[in-house]
Amino acid sequence: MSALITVVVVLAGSYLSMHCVAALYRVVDLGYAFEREKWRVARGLVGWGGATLLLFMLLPARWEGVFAISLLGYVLLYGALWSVIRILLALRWRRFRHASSAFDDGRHAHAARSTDGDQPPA
Amino acid sequence: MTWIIGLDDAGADDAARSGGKGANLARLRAAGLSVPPGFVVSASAHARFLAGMSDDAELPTGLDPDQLEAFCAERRSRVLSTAMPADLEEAITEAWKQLSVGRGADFRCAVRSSATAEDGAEASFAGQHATYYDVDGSSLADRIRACWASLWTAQAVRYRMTHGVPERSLAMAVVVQELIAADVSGVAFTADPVTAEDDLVVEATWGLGAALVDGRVSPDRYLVARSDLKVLQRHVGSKQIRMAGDGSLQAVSDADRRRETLSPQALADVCEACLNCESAFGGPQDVEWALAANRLWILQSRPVTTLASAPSVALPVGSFVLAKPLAENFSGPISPLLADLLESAVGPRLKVIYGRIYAGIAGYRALMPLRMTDAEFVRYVYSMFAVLPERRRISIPGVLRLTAVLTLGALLFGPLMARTRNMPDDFMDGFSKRCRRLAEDPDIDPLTLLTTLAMQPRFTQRVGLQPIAVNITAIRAAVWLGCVRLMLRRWTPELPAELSVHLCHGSEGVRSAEMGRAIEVLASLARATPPVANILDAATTAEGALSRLRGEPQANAFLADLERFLSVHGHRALRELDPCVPRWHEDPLPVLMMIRNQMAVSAAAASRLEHGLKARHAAQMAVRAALARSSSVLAGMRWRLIDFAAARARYYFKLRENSRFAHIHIFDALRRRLRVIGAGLVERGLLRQWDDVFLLRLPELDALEVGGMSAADVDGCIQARRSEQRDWARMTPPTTIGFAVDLACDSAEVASGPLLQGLSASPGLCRGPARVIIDPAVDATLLPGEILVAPFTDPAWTPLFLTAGAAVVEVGSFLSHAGTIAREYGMPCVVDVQRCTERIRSGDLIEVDGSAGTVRLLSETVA
Repeated sequence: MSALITVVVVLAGSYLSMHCVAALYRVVDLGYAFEREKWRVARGLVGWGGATLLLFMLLPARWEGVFAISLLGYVLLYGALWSVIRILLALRWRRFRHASSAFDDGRHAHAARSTDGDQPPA
Repeated sequence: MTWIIGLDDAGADDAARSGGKGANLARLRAAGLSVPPGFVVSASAHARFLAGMSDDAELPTGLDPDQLEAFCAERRSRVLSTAMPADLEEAITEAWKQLSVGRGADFRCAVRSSATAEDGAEASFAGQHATYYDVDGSSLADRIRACWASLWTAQAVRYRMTHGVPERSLAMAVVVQELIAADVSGVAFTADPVTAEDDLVVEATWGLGAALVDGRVSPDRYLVARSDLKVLQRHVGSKQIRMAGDGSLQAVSDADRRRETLSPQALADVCEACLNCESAFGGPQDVEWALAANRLWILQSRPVTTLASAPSVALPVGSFVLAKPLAENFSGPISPLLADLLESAVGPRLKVIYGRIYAGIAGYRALMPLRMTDAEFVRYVYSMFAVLPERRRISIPGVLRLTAVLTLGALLFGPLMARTRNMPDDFMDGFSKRCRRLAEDPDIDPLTLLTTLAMQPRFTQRVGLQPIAVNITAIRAAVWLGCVRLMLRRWTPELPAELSVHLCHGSEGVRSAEMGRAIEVLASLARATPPVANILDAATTAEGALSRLRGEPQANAFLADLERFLSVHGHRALRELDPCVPRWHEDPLPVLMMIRNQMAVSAAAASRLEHGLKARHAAQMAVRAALARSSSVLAGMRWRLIDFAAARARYYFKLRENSRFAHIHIFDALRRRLRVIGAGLVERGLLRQWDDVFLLRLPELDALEVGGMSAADVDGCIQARRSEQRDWARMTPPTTIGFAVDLACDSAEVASGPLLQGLSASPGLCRGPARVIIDPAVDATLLPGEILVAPFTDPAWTPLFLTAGAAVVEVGSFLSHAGTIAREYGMPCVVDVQRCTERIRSGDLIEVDGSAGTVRLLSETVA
């Protein structure tokens, strides 16, 4: 039973953390029309922040640690996943660029040997 | 040894002496066909020239592409720098003098390569060797040497290797002919090279035919019956440029672009002449012809070598399937540059083969919780996840992998999913500015531009600037639609299933649907202002029409509205994911055509959006009434659940379409950037036209920019790729590569009878005359109630949906644009109807059952 509750608390913590992150992002996402959308932003922050705080306060003390870790853990995991994917993508494109510049070097060598005119055939 | 052979001389038809092209021309002249006079610098002359060259090393085997390129560059350089032997040059000059007698001081000729292996039944060598126009006596010897040198381009060597043509036996004759200053020219096939049926295919354009052969222009195209030379199909191309007699490219006048190049009589003359060529050679021919001062000339005739066979390309190892969701955005092969950009941005899962986008399936199949073969997987996906394998066995690794991917996806995309909930309609509006800003950055290269805008958002970037990610998260629409279906099936089983689709559509704020409404407003304005209506009726080009509108005082309000429309929708185009295609802000002719089309429609007939809303309200009433009849105490709660899920589905369907509206700006930005790069290369003399950049590979473009390649290095590639693209455009790409799958329908009626099976995209039943439209920029007339039959649709087709009774589309899926807009408008739509544009003809009476996903041919028009 205890394990089951731990899983539920971890899932709830991650879920709320996810929405808190999203609610924070809303400041950026709706910043382009903040005057018009400020209540939507506030609703998100108060709603998800409040729900998280409420659950934290309602949880028995022995689950508070687990809940807090899952809240924080998700934020760290999200940041790490994001960074890893960006790095992987950047590496792949860099590899492509490298292959491309190798191609250029080869072309330079050929062009130096070639005495072809620059005039394309009609 | 005979170095010079007149085309009428005995033995001129010997390919070993005159080369393939020269021999064929000699035979045509002997058969009495009108071939420009000329002579052949024979293969012996080439041998004489080579004898004077030192170090004529043989082509080594096992060269890698770079080594081959280097070997060829070296060889070409030696051919071009070796002087013509004096006796040979004298013979050529003498032949030139004889040919030019009585033809004036400004006599010019065409100089065409004629390799001994060329224009045979097995290999045509089309586009492999050089041809020069507007050659005078002083440069003749240089051009002949350049033709000989063109034997040694890397692509010509690769072509010989592919077709098993031995190097040792190869020699190059050169044909020197009077240059025909053509008014109209073109190519004709005496058998359709795609279907192998024996109808004639004629393509024609203004000026010299080289622009057409190179694929620089979109020509007029005719399909003509062999038996009675009756025109079966006619397509008037846009023919933006023409090649003048001096080889320069000129813009075609406004009036001529939309005008047919061939009169019925001229078309019949071309066909008859081509059939005579076929008789002369005893097999289907690929004929180049020209019309000058009303006289028809045959410039070349060779056997059709591509009859119903796929052009050969190196296929990748692995299993690949045609990516249908992407295929709907491209009606033809995509350019090499876009192929490189997509492959390098997306990764190895995506391959461009035959110019079409294929997805590697190994990775996706591994995620299936059931054991499946490649074929079973493709059948499952192509049936929209309906056809499972007969023998169902759980795959434990598959289950684990799927769970891991879903978990990772949820963790990564969770915040993004939450961020895109309940966003205002304008939250992606700032993306266009970002695209324009990056496109104007002189330091950004195309790949960085694409990856920055499409795939590499910053950690703190607002979600409105990530439309591709938004588009991916909006796939939730299908999940919510599934929930609505499930609830309706359980709680109101007596209602038709299609009500779920009506419940989930009919939103305000769908940009593509609103575009239709904007066109409607512009059409009303034009209708109310007769001078504007008259100008639009006569419009053939955007520049012409706009300049007339600007000169018309009563057109100010219309022009202001048009300007506003283009400021919002100007980044769109037909086939808008293809940056090769001009955007509406560059060429608003398609918009003007759509307005003109809409002007013919009464205002009452064009209220599709209201129709969609009404269909949704009717469905809501029906569901509520059915729930009330059930007398369940939970009826109220059930309705709220259904309504909530339907509202979610509506929102995400809207989000999907609107995010697409936004991410099309990426391709507009890519085109803007490439235009600047291309214009720079033209200025430096490295390209002939800025849009030749699309025919380069990405590394070639980089190399050209930094001076690592010259015009001579890429010009041959560009020509060969144009020819390759043309071949690919004519072929139907295989659905799968690396394995076989039978996706044929079971029913004999479906296979050959009057019933065409597709996928349901929007429910409803509609019966009416069909209207087949291949290109709405050319043919945008669709009368109210006619059923639109199209090869594909993208948002640029939306205005046609305003008047259509229903839509039938050759490619697409439930989530594709055609389905989404049809559902918003509440009209039946069937997608993925294979070859519907060929099997249905304009005027046929058809019945579209959007619920069953079928199209029935009720009666065919008499041809």
